[in-house]
Amino acid sequence: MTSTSEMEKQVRKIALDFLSTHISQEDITAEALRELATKYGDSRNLEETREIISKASKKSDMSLSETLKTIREEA
Amino acid sequence: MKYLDTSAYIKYYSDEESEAGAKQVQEVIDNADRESGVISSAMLIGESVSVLDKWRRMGILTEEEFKSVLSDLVLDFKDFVEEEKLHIEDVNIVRIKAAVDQIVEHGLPINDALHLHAALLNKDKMEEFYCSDKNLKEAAKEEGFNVIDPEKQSKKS
Repeated sequence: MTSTSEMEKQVRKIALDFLSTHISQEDITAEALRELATKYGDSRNLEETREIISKASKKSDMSLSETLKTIREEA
Repeated sequence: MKYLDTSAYIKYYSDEESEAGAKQVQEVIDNADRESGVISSAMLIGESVSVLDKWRRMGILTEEEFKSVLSDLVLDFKDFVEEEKLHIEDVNIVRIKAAVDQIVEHGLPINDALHLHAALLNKDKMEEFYCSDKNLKEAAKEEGFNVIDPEKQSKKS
């Protein structure tokens, strides 16, 4: 009779073998980005986005790259 | 292949008037494909959203504008990866351990160190390293990358 701990080890091995054989890092990345897009993605309008960013940059006198620099410095 | 850190990639969402180098970055990303694609670290995703979130919290973007821009950003990440024009290098404990070498060697903060490590993983196929961050640019040059600052290119033209 197989003990519970041995069964757990076997199940774990089967699960890890399955994951490493059938799911690549690319699959995990793509799935995570699909979930992100489902949660925060609605419609897209690149032209409008660029207009929003351009207007906001002028308003704040700060570019996206400059803002990133401040975030990295604060980290 | 071309490496784009977040300081370069984020320019895709602006225009040349507000963001020096935007036009060049747009050309790089729009012309990327499977054979000549863009590589970045998964840090790109979090850092890009952090920039927009900071603008929202500072009142530079309204809630509606923030949601609209974020929507474009996340839909592009998904599509670019699915189209294989963007390859994202994962961040995990093994990568963080390796990035510690970049912190110690170049004095970089962890975000920059993870970008540099992601580029080093693909060094054999990397033609250009696009970046507008002074510290990361210097470290990438020291590692032998052909570094291009889109802001400098913009000023030349």
